[in-house]
Amino acid sequence: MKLTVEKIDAKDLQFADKTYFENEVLYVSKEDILAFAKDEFCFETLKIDIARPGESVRIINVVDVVQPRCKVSGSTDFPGVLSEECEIAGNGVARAVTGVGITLCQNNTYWSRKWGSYDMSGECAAINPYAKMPQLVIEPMGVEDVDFRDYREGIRRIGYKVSVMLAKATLVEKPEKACVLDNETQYPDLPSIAYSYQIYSKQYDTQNYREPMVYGNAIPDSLPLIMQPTEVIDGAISLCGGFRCVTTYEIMNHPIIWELMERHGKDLNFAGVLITVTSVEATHRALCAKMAASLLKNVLHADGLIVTKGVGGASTLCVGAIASEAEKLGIRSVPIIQILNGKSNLDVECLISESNVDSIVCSGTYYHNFTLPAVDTLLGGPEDALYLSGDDGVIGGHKIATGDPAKGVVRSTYMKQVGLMSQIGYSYGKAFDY
Amino acid sequence: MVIHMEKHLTIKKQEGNDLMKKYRVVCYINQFFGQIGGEDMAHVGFSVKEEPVGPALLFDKLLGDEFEIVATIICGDNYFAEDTEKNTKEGLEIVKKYSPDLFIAGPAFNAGRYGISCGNMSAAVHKELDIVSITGMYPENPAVDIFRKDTYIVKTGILSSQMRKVAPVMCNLATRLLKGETVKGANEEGYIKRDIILNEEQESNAAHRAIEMVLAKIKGEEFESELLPPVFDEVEPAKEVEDLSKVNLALVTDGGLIPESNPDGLKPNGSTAWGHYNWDELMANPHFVIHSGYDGTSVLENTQRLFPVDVLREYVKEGKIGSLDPEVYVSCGNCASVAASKKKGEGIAQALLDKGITAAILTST
Repeated sequence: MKLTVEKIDAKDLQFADKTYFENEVLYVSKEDILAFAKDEFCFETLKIDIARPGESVRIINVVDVVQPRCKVSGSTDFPGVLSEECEIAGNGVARAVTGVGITLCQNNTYWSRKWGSYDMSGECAAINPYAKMPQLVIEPMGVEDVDFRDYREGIRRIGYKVSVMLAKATLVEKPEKACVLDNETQYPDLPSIAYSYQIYSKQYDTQNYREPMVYGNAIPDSLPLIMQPTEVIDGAISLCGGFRCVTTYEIMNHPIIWELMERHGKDLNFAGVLITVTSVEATHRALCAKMAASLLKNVLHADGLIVTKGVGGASTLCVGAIASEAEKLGIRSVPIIQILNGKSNLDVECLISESNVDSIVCSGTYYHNFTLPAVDTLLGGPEDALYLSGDDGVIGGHKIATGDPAKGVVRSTYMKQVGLMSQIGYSYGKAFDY
Repeated sequence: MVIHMEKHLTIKKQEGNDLMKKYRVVCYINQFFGQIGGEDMAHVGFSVKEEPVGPALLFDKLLGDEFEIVATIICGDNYFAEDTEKNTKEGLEIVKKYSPDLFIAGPAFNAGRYGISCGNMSAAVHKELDIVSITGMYPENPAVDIFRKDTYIVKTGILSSQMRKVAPVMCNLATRLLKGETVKGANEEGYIKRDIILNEEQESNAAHRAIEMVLAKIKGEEFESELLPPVFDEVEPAKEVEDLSKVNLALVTDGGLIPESNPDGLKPNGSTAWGHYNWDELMANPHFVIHSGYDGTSVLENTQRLFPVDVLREYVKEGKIGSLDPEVYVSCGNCASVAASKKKGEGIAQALLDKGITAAILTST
């Protein structure tokens, strides 16, 4: 498939009476965004703010960051999520706005999706890509007793609608560059690399909420699927809220897919993408791993494989199993995994136990801790919101009984800072023994 | 990413002038390095010289004008090892008197008892007095595993001839710790890992690193995995018991049921000790579950839940089982490292073999 992504840079975001783009500034009308909320029965209204790099701002309850992006031609925007009919994504032309982001917050209900936060200045901001761009921060104010499933899907739609609206506003100007992502020709003489992308785990879903992951469909127990790389970055795959440590922004700019696509035909061949989910029991895991390996060898003809996971231990076991089965078939495999502990050493913290998986990238520990200073402005929750200053170790991170005032000095883990840790390889951290 | 010391130790300025006050340093060494004598003098207790002695002379030179070695504490290896708890306290009292900013112990290289005293002192000074402490040891010195989390232990060679090589590393690291400057990872700095994992931002993102790694692997080029699966021992299962009626059976547990007096010094977690106790005596006298990793209530309610002695004795009577050892073998498996567990297992197995035991039932919790 062939997708052209036009890029245009916005230097700032500003509120205005209407939404438009001029002199590299994206002007946003709150009314235009509020109009989207009218369609969502579970929102009273939306609180909309702008946060800029360097400001003393903490954004809490962050559930996603989205890049302004719309389709110019080819498929529709976020098919299956913003539309009933499902055109296959990944072809035609898309417009992406770089330099600004849309941050979505979830100020009530289901706790496990409330982990994320980030500061626009300070120690963490210095290494956070999202803190380096002006952010339109949207906080839906839910009606009372709203069902968290409706609320969560409402936020998803609002975020994607705003993304489309802002990108469309830039269409009056020519893009600064156009990236052509094309894998229609295969290059069998070059090392052929495939990517196995674990997009979802049902272990984080409660009350029968099954997040709609692929074209608006839930795939809780899916066996491996083959998808086109451009589909993934063009709106076919939604963010799994339960996974944390990944955003829609990162999926749209998926660093593995982009790099493999850009190097396709030059020094490697991009064989294709497998979509998997976390298995929550062993026989499903073993079957998925064997099927993935078989598809990689017999359908995608891969020489090499990169495997990524979602948050947690079960997810790690799954990518370990896929990498191991692929290695058995002669496919050289590199999983990207994280360390689930902060007070330990790397010799004993690799959750992959298959000895034939001996090429692993480690994108850091979840539990590198920061003490962050008090801030002037808190977004994403009420002024008196508490911050889950869970600190060392897995269990501490889940405690919700206590908290520090979110506006004051807080303790944050690396994983809680949205933008610092990316499951799909967008982040730059690596774990070291100290 | 770097460690930022949470408590910055600042140089106190002398009142009325701009002269910097020097950092106060206390060193700790054994009788040998203290030039009191060799093994024959290992029994001597604490003494103090209010000047640099032995390796402290080298530290004094390396640390430079900003530092002043105000005392060198010397203690015999045997004296210290005889009662480490009491002697650590005694040592701490001396250190306190000199209110140092920095404490340097050893380095102990591969010396066992010296490692224990350096480790105890260095860890206690840091933990109890909140003073920056540092020592140096060979990575396989038995004290390393005990103290590496509580102080900075710089890696040394086996022998003291390595002193000139390691002293600058110790001084450099100590200086930065003291000033709250950047201290990087264990490998880069040359200290022994303290069981803290931190992230450092790299030049390229994880996606790029993975792509480069997989290409290198395909091409058969060298690459360095950022993490490796743990290496497991292959344990060959013992042969099955052919005739139960001839077996000499023993009971072994990691459940931590022991006499109240705890004669073998088991610990609630991370225990490296084990004991063997006559079952009837154990039951007749006060006993408890020392294991802190599970709630021992149900075992104490009915100890047969941990050791099914009653049923087994019936089997012996009926001739189903040859004999049951009157002693039970007890360890405590909570938070046990594989290495420590292996050692305990080997010890228990040897003791059973020496007694002519031919089979054992291991009960866990």
